[in-house]
Amino acid sequence: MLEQRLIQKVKQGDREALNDLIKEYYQGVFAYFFRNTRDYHKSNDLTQDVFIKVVSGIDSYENRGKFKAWLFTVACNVLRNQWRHENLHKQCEYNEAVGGASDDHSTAVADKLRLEDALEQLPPEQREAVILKYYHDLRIRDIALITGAAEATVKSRLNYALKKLNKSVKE
Amino acid sequence: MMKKNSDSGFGINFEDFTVPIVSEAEISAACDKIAESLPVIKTGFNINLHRYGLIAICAMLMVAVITIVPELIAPEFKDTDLDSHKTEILESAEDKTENNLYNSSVTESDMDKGIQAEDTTAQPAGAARAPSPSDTGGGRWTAKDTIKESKSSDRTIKNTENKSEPSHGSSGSEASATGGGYSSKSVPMGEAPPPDEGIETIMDKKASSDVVMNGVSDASPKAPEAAGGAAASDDMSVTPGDSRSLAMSAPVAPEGARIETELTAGEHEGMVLLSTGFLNFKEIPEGEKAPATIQNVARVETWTVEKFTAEFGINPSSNRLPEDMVLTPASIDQNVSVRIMGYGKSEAYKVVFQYLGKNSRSLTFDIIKRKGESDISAEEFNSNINGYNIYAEYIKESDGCQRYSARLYYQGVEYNIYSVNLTQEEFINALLSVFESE
Repeated sequence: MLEQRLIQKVKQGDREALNDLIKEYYQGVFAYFFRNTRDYHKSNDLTQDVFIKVVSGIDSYENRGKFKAWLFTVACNVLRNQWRHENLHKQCEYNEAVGGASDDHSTAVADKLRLEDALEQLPPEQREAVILKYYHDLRIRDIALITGAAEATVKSRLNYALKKLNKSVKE
Repeated sequence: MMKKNSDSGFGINFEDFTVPIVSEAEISAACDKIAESLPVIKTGFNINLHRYGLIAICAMLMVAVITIVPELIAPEFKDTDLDSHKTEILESAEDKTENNLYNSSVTESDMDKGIQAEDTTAQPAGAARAPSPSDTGGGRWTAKDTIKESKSSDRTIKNTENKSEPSHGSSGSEASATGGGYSSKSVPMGEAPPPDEGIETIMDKKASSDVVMNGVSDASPKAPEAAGGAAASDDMSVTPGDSRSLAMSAPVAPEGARIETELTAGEHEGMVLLSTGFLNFKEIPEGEKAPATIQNVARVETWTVEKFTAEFGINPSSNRLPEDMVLTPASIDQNVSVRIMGYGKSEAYKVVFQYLGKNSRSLTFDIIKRKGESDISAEEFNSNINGYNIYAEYIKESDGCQRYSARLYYQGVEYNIYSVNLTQEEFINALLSVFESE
């Protein structure tokens, strides 16, 4: 597998392989952060943090599972650290942020919520599950492992999230 | 970005949430920043390229041992023509007057005394012993009609590391005279056989010293095929005129261990019988396997091949690996990348050899040498090969991916072997390669 070869080369200090690996996954990880934070620069910083952590720990990575799942596990942890740091994981603060951000789109909010706004209104865990599943094509099992939740919990979060999104996004 | 999972059944078009594209320049800048965390360039260990170097080192060790050990164990056995001794002893078991065996005269009276001494001394079959005070230097030699060869038990590698309970003939039991099996009684490598055990005759002492020497030499990378071979030999009794030589007592089977259960590519057998053991794969339901975890790697060092060999004392064989599997990356010099885990008494050295093949096939050997005890729990074991307990498991994922893994403790080294998309037979052969050498 190309990915495995790249990882092996990165372990050996191959700079070119590292560049290839980063370019392969950078946009995807960035998108994950952007959909959670909706902040371009912050998402860039968080993405770089993820890869720095991955590269620092690459020697201990064992090719037992999918690299993508491992990568997003690190990303998930980085995001949660960011939440704790910014104290954005509280539901009330999210609601306030959504309310503030939508000032320029008050009419739109009243009549129609953009998907990203609707996503932002979701509790972080539900939003995270939706993003991982529908934007990063990860399976329930992988999402459960990444987030540390049970599969049933992930399914439940997705179910609630989709219902809310469906209700929020109006044609 | 349209994903196949975007159809949530709720009519939500997730494509509506667009994400800005990060420019190439920004990604390149990020690469520069991330590259600062890149590990120091180190090279891996190419077993193939340095096989001959390791063999040369081991050959030198063997020569040194061959010349030194006999002096320590049985100084009177200075005859160096061991092969001829083996043949002559077997072929002329009744010819008691062969003088050239030990460069001394052996009379019939001596033989008779030897026979009597032997008759009166009960010795467990297959055990070796050091020369006793009653043996005279210069060739006291007793004849036996049958020679209970020092069996695999004499040099089967001790299974104490696994702390296994006797099962399927595994550790704790002595090898029977009739079967090889998974005997655990052994002569520690490099040491003389314990006194008051073993075969009475000088000839057998010679055999035992020969076996010990073989055992010591087998501690080198050539070792483990001996263990597999010995266990595979069913009948080690040698009768006069038997064409088999004492070399049979050295547990080396030309063909190594064999898979006796019929295996079909693409299918899985829960229980697989081998000529020297069995594998009882634990089937892990999909989803239960934990993802890769980051281990506590204190530091990474680059060792020379000599240091690696001295510390680990192994040279895994690649003879049984599928042809498409290539060690990745191939090394270009004499160094081995070693991960140092833990600290102090719990410190451990880990080396990873990974082979990659076509169609996402991979085979990984994690080899760990611990300062302390192995953390493999005896309760984990579900299989046994050559007297060594093994934990084996199997996972088949919904996408058809087959994963096998095995864990064992062998010759002071912990092996974790896992494969992706190898057939069961290929994985088992890879596991058996641990017991064999090139």
